[in-house]
Amino acid sequence: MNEALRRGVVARSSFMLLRLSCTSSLLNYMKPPILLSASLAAGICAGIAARWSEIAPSPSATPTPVSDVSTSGLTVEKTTSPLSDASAAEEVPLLGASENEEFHALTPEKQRDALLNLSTHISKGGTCSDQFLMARVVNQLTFEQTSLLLESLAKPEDGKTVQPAAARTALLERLAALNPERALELGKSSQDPKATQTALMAMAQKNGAEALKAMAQLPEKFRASVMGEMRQGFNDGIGKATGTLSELTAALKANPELFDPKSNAEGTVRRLVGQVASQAAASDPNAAMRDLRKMASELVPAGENSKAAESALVAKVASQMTRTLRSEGGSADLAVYNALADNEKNSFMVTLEAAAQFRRQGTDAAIQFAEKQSSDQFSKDAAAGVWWSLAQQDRSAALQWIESLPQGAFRDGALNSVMQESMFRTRSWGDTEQSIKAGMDLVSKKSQLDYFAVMAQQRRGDGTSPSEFISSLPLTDADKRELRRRMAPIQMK
Amino acid sequence: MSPRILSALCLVCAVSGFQLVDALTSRHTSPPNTGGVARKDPTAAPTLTHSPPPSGNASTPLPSENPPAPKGPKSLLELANSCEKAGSPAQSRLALMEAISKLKPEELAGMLAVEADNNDFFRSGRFDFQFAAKRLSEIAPEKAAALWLKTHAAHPGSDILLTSWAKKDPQAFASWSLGLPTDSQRALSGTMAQLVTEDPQRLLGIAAQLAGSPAGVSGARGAIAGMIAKASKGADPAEAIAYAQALPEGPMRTAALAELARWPSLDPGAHPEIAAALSELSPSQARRYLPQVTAVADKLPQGALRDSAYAAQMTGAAKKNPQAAAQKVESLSGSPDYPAAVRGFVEATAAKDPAAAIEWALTIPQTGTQRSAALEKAAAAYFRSKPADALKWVETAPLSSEEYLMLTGRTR
Repeated sequence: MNEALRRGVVARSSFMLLRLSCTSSLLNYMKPPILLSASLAAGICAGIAARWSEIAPSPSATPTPVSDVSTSGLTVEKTTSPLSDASAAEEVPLLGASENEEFHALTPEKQRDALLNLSTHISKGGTCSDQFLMARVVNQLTFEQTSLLLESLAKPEDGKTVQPAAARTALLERLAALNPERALELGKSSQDPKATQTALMAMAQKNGAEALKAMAQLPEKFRASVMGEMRQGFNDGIGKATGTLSELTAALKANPELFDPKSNAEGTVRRLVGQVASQAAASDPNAAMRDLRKMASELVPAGENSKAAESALVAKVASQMTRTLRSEGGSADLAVYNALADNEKNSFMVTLEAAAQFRRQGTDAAIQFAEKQSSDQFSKDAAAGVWWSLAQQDRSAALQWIESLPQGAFRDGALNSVMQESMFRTRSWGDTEQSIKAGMDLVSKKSQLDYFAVMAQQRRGDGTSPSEFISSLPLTDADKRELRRRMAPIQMK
Repeated sequence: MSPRILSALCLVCAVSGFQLVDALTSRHTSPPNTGGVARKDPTAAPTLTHSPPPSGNASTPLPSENPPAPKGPKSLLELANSCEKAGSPAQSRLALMEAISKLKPEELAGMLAVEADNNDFFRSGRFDFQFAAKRLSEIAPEKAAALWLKTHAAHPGSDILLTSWAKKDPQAFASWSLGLPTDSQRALSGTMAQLVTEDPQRLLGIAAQLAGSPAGVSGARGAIAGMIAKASKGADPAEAIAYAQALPEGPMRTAALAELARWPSLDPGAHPEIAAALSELSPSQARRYLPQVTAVADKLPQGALRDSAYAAQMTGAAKKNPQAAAQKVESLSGSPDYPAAVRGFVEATAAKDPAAAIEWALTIPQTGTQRSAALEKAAAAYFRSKPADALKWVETAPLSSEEYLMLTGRTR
């Protein structure tokens, strides 16, 4: 019953009650017990009318037609500024769904309209509440309801196919949560990379090896697009692959193409294996590393460079492991890193480990770590991690620290980090002007020239010649001459 | 019984009946804690709404359906890990969203501040960080903005701390941004792009404020990028050009017009305003548009971009078919585009045949920078492959004193 009708009934009942109570003619014709009973009954009627909405059966029995749903009900959120920490997340009605109804009990048309409406709102920068509401209502659906909704969303409307990305993603994830195997079949049969990816992610969370086997069965071209979607899923950090390294090894042995460096699946498989291995390492890092090396030895075919290939495989997975373990806290990442031989590390791992040492043990420990590296390249990498961390803490102290460093790989690494940190700090990726400004911030002329010499080398890659680059620098003529001398392509003895 | 007393008794009976029903139904229907699906106005279009904010709490807990999140997590990471047990990725995400939604602004800010001190820069890309940061931006924009200032240098993913607020109140966001150090204003490029890409009109209201700010330039580019993303191949760019021209004169307008070079199938030569904007860019800025303009190099105005486009065109051609590319370069002999074309040709051939490439470089007239750039490239390749020959060549080649100094670092 709607509000107007309800109020009308209440008013009318009250009015009748009053008339009943006050009409003298009734008093004359009716006997008192009858009159009192009638008054009581009228009061009960009025009460029922007033409380009809609570007493009446759920309105789901008589849903409002979809055509009655107006989009004007979408409320605009309140404007806030940082000066007023006002509550901003106001009500955002999900049109097409009745308040008293559970979403799953709505008609498919109303569910579709509601999801479309919410999805549009999310695509226009909706709030966290919208995201949560979407996840919550979709969580009520059965597999059949979900797949029906997905089908109806894909149907063109007025000649146009709508692309409610948020609704589609939520529905696909629901499908995968309910039955990953069936969801995978649906994704495969419709050649839908997103659907297949969400199903594989859910499968991987149950058992990584099963997900690998399913990946292997995808046609190669289709797999490429699925893997692209899936990498992002792993980076999100929601839902981790489970299983054991021996199960994964068996699956990869049967499908070696998945872990081939040239394969389109390699990046995704590396993340999956890394997640499983990091869970093993969280409880026993040494055992996990032993299993990982065993996996590498079983997966790399015997041959001339098999030892190097095994180390490369360990490095790839260990890089993923240390990243995952580090982001989850604890100290297993350090145990894994310390268990690695130099040929099982890569530059990025060393930089990140130096930064982690800085965070855990402070400047001195991080510098010691960087200084004891076995090669010039690793010294550079570690120095970059140390300088980066120091700059976050105190940038001017970090710039001063460079001046205290002796010439060599360590100092070069720190100078490289100046450029990278500047790009991150100002979001000016590849912006030459910003990189030059970062170089001019260096304290001494010597550091500036060293920095620009490295930068001139790097700019060669984008087609700028060193002489053009040097001409653009805000340096004195003498400094430019010095740089040209250093950068001369023909080195006279 | 007197009629008056009888009337009064009737009234009492009627009221009692009403109250009886009222008491019975209240007992059955309260409390209306139905997780955000409480009925409010049955006459309105059927709606499913979020719960209203409880009094005395600035945060707005989202509707609750699942069991409450486990108590106790001190950090966002612990919270995320505890939600992992919920089931599938979708269920984990749902549990996490619910748990985050229950946090008060100060709790949320505290947890995010811990993450800010974490120099693992992958951290800010994860879903838990992104959702928590967005939530803080919605319920406590002041705290979120302060946190962004502390965090943005190490965590590119922290831009989401500003996004919700910037979308809700672009004017306040623009005013706030102007008080920041230049580097921080520049760092707003990601937020500005998000703000205007989905709705370019947002920029028009704040363009005058941001005319002198690096964030304004990012916004101008972002707005046009948003229009391009929605434009189909061959679509008329007139509206987008008018939009760009409505921006304040200077770097913002230039950036917007130059960005239009990316319009699908657009010929910059047919739009003088776009070509003029492109020619105003520095060589390093112009390089951004090379993929779009390389094929139409001959339609660009003379300048750094046309030179770069010609060079890129010849590099590509020489990699595919050196003979055909050499003929094309020769056909340009005497034209203003010849130096750039030779430079592009040398770029592609220096590694394979440095001696021939260096001879090509010497055919460029001694004006401008193309000759020295081509010589540097070819000489470096020559010295790497045949150092003795390169040393001999440099002593006898027809080089100016400046060129000799540039190639050897010494005076002759």
